[in-house]
Amino acid sequence: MAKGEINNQIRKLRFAKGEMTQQELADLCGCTRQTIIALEQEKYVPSLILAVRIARAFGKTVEEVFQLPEDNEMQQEGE
Amino acid sequence: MMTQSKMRAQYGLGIWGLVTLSFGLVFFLGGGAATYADDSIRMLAAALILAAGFIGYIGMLYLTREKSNGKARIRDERDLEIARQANEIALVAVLVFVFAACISLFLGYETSGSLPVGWMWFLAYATACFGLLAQSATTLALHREMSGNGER
Repeated sequence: MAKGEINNQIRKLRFAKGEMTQQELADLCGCTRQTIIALEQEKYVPSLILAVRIARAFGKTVEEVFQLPEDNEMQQEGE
Repeated sequence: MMTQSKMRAQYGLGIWGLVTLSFGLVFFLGGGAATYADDSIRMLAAALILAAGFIGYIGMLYLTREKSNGKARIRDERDLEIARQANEIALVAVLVFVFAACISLFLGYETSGSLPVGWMWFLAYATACFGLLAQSATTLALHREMSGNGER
């Protein structure tokens, strides 16, 4: 549950999806706007169900939306 | 819009804070534990305060219930997770409170061999108030920790 346990691209994807609002995303995923805010600030790690719903809302896979910090480190090392 | 659990925690903190303060005044200002059990007026006042607290709390739970026609969700998995963690922390806090209170009473009255029965009333009331206060305060603290303030 701690900050930084998982990274996500929610804010980036929301803006890419026609400036979708946090409330619109929350309604699509069946959660509160406060949870979307917490997710964007990486202060909350979602359940698998919510992660899948968020990914579906953007038409992406879960791994395209959520990444483990070590994945990002490996990617940066590879570059 | 605030989530249901945060709203309830804020109201809960207010209600139980008021009950704790009122009970503390009734208990300590009227002579403390030594005279409490013999003073029917203070005992009645304390009982009424606690009853008012519970009635107010139940009323608040009813007023903040999830309405079927609500447009936005007012509770989700994050709220349930916060509630779970808050209950765990509050339970441990209550255990520590009762332990500390009992040990303090024991140490305070060890030499006399007996203690005024008023302290048992205090322990009962204070445990109820402390448990509910701890639960509300912990919920608010967890909401603060597990939320951002972005309004983008």
